[in-house]
Amino acid sequence: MTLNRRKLLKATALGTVATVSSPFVIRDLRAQDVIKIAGIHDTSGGLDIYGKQMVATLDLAVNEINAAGGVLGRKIQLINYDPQSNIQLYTQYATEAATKEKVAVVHGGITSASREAIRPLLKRFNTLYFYNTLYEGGVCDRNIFCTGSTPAQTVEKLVPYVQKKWGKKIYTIAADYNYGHITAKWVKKYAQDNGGEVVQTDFFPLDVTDFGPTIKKIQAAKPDLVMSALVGAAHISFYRQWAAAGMNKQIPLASTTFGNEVVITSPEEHNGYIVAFGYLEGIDTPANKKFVETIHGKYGIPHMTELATMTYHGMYLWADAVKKAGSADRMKVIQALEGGAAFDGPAGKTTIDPQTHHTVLDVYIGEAKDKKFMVLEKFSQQQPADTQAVCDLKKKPNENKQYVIDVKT
Amino acid sequence: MKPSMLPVVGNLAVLAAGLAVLFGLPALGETYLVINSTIFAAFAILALSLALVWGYAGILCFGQAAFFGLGGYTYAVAAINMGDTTIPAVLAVLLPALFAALLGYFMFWGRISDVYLGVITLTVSLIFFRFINQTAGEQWNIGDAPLGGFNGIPATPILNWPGRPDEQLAPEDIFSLTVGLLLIAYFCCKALLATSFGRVIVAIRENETRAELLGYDTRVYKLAVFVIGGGLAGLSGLLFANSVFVSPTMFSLPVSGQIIIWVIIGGLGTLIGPVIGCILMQFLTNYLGTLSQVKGFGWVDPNLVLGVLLRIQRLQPLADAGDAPPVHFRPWMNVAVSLGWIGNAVAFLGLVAGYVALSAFVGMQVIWAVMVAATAWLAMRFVDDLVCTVLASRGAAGRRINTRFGIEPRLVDRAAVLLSVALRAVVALAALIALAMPWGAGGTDLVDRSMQLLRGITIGELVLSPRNIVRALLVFAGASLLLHLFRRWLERRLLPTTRMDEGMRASVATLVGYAGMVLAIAMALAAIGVGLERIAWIASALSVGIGFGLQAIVQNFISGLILLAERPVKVGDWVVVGDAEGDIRRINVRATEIQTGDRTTVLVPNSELITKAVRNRTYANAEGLVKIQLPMPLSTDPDRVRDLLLEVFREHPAILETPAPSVAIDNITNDRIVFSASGYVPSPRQASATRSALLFEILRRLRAQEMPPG
Amino acid sequence: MDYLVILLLQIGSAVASLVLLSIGLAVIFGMMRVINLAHGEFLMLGGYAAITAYNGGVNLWLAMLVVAPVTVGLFGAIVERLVIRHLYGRLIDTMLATWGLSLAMIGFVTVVFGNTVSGISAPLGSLQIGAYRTGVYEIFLIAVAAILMLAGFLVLRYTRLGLIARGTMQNAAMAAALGTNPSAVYAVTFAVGAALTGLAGGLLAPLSGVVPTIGAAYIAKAFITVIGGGAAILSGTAIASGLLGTINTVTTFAFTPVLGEVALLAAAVILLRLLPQGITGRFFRRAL
Repeated sequence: MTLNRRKLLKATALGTVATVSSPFVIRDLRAQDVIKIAGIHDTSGGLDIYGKQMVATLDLAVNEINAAGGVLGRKIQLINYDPQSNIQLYTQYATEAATKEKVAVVHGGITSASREAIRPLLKRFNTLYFYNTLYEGGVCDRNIFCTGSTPAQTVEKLVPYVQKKWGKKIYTIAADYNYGHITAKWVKKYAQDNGGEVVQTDFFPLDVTDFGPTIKKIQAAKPDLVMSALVGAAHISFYRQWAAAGMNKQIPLASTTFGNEVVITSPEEHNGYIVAFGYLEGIDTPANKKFVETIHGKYGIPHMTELATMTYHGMYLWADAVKKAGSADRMKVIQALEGGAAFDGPAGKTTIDPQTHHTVLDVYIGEAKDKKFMVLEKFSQQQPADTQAVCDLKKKPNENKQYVIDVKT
Repeated sequence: MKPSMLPVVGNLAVLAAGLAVLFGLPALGETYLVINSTIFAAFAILALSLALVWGYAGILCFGQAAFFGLGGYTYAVAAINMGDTTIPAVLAVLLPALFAALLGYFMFWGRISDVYLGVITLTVSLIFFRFINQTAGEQWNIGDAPLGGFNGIPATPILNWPGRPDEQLAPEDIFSLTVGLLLIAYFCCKALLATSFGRVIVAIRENETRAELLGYDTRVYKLAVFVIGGGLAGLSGLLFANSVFVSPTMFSLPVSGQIIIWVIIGGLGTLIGPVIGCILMQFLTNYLGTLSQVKGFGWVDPNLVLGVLLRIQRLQPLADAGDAPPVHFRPWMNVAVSLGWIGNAVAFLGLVAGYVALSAFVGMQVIWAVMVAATAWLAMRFVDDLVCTVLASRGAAGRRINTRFGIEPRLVDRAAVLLSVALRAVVALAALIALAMPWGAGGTDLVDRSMQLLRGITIGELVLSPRNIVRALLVFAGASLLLHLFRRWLERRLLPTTRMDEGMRASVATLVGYAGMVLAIAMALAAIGVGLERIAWIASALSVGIGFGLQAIVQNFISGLILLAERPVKVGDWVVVGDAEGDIRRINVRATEIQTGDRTTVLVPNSELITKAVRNRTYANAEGLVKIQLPMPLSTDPDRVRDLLLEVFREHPAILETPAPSVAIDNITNDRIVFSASGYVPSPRQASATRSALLFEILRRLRAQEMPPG
Repeated sequence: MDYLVILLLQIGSAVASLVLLSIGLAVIFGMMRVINLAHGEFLMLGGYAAITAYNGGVNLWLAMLVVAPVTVGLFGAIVERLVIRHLYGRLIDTMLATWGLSLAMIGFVTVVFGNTVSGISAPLGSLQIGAYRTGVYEIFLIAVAAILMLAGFLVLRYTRLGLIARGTMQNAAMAAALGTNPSAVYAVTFAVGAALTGLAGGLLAPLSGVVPTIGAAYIAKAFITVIGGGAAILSGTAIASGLLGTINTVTTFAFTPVLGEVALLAAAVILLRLLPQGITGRFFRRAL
């Protein structure tokens, strides 16, 4: 029987490979009066806390736009892909979205690695791409719009604020990859610009959970504050162990990445931490309150960070640009977006910077308190200075790379 | 077909299939399909490498991902630095092979095998993973190429035509290259295994010591295979770098694990199996990701599915029960196959005649139908195997059910068969839906319809949904089980400690059983939604009918209850009813079983026991009376006779001390004195046997004392 | 001076966590030569059990020290019955079956709990040693690890249960001939090993938090420690944990955490190359 089964497996496999398209091909022949867009976010695997909220806000935006009549009289059809935190699936789904579904725009990518995996691909297939996650900056590509904040926007305001509040000596701990390295460099630059110094910078790979030695080293260095750019589920252990050693009452902490962790850690662990993002749930405007209520209630997302709201903004920016351009054609939409497109939403006002295809956005400094963030201060319309320093799409529209931003300290 | 021809045919089939895909897919398929297939094929080469190393050489390498990642990274770094990708491509194969040689030397010359080898290879790939992950900073640039740490190496140069660095390969070309390389690698491995080298490898896998004793240096052979496997994995990494992205996840544990899963699913000891397993698994993972488009499928976590698949796969070797030959399948299978061939013919002719769309359509339908049918058949076999394995009466679980719950093996088998049929029906239904999908019956449409069915049919106030029915059955089963256990506990543990006797205990247990059964049924009905009030209605309605039609039965039933409660007779008593005399074996609901002296059973309706007079010889545990009448001649000494009789009585073990035996003179006739001696035995049953023994003894003693009876 | 104390405490803590991670696996592997690749997931399950119990209102210590091991022990008993029992002696097959089990467990926990659970803060506060503060919980863990080792030693050495266990470990057939029931011993051992793992998971939960995929981080270390330790359950685990933990901590203090991890892995590889049967395969052969 085993042999028979093997033969059957062979036959089935051959059939399977050839039939991958069958049901999908047939399905495709149906209604053509929708505009298809794709969302590629990890809703399973290690990154799912981010992916799920981004899918929720994207869905909300699409539903709202459709309820208001859609764009150009047609409804938007959202196709969601889940790459399961697996980078190879990103490539496959991006290819599928671009070549099979022929979507008008792709919103997606959470880590920089996933973005870089699909960016060249989407450019090759002439599909517009919106990357809505905060990242290290430097992408120079006319086919992409990066709506998330970059370190120059948030760190530039955070460091002086905390230095004024707590002192000049900073100890930086960061995740060991591009985002962490570049953020650490920006911290050093702005610290020095403000007359302070970074006594030590430590990097941690993303799966380190034992921070015991580091906590001892921090104590030995006696800084005025700790700047954290730690990312991911494993790094939450730092906040736990830091509080376990009682250090959160001794040395204050600021962070550019402490977002969802506020829901997972306890108030004793995180009260008093200061963060800077392009969006905080505590923003006190009616639009944001309603937005937060809908996402918490209808979509069941417990806490939202910047990347979810920027996905919402990104969707609206695209839809408004399509309406302005009168067509969903890629180049026309790009030109409409480059013509100073802006959107006022829960995160404040977001304007597209035509030189870099990044956004000019409002930066909020917040404090963690009882599993929420309270807004302490707002800085309006911060330019993406770091990317502007290396990228000028007006002069060189055919650029297609990510610059590693060299921070001169 | 001659068995010796089978391998050749197999190879030809694979070659044909491979060539068909190689040339057919770029022409017919869409771009995304071509790109996806490139990735699948790249992974297939990786699966091939482990199939060779593990399946044929028996080296469980847990770190094949290390060579895979090395290949990818070598290619990326070299290509960025060199510009022309020809040499980097070669390096991408050579460097992992070299590393494999080093590692292999380290391990095989150290005689490390089995588990320890797995651990070392695992550790090595972990070291790579950890190490590469932290290479984000600028100090980790090799020449122009940043290692990039967690982010990986962006903008890996695509392969270009050898010698022409400006002409990059198009996706279709890369596809052809990948599939071509897969085919070449496959056939080279096959060829290698057919040589004496291959045979030695297999010999080493089977029994390394024996191979050594036969004169082969096993370390060299193992090293050679390991190096080839490493090179193949590096090749796969190179192709992966071209179609996806170079990042540290290439070294990670899940990748190593995935490769192992492919080989398991495909089967150890074959080359084509893991290749196909790999492609199937890739397709499945891909499909599961797109499933989250359909609301409600979000709960299908890919890990869960893979885990379950792996588990079922592991149970397979146990399901070795004799397989029923699918004779009854033949007729409609032949029909289906014929239809398939007709479809193929139409498709081909259509293609030739120019009706491309039609032929594509028909071709797709045929392939889809075949796929669905094959998958359904496989699924049904799996389900059948699984259920029968778990519940087989011969298996461990079945035997445990038997001993623990006292359920007969046949019942367990029956349950297994029923369950298997039910599950297979579900599979068949799903297959039908899947078959209908391309014809416009949208998947969601039928899913909606079946969802509705799941919600249940409403009859008046009764909602018969599968959920309710299952719940009711569960409640009933649970209650019955509890009842059964409770009864057993009563019978075995509680009641023996009370002062009740056997019969009383049986009565109590039976009563509890009836009461519990009624309760269980009531609860089950309540679970379905039929409350007790409704049962009262039905009961009163039925009672009229019962009153008239079932008079006699009910009379017997009630009599049975009275018997159990009042216990004029109990199990074990010796009774005389009418002309039936014997021991009561069982008191049933309607009649009582009486076993007579000649071992026949008389079934007496309970009402007779209640309404008629019954002689109960053992009522209230009466003792049995042994009465002996002894005629002696007039000349005997009555005292001596009396003493003798009393002695015999007392010495006999069965005679009770109280009431004490007694001897009396019944009568004095002309020439005789008639003595009567009486004693008691514990039970009337022993009376006659004891009487006989006493008589024997009495006669013996009388003869010994020369006082023969007259 | 206080730096030295802190360093020693850190080493102790690293060794203790390795011991806790591996003791369950050592019991299972040492007794039955079963490679349980779902070990990390058992840890994860213990963590979830503790956190869920704590969130449900159970006292923290009860949740960590009682609920976690009992839950995972029960689960282990069920797994042994259903899966492992059929696969004794088939080393590779147990590896693969437990791999599938681990995937299934991850998937199941993800479906039930989602990917984020609010964790527990570490209890017991902190302690000032000279110029440094350290969490008292770390010291508590060292104490627990030591107690576990001691308890294990006492049980194996002085109780009848331990005697039966050791006998079955050495020669199952002979033990069966002498009247013990090897399959019952295996079942109990697997459950005990699982319970120990659950305890470790519960104890480690406050320090590192629990996500469904956290098992992967631990399993490599646990495996390396157990296999490096060799056949003897207690002494093997103790020596291997001590050795690897020290190397790890010292390198981390001296350089970076990454190099610390790499040093641990490299040390393990070298260890296995030199002593293929693990440490107690060559030294301390007769130890427990």
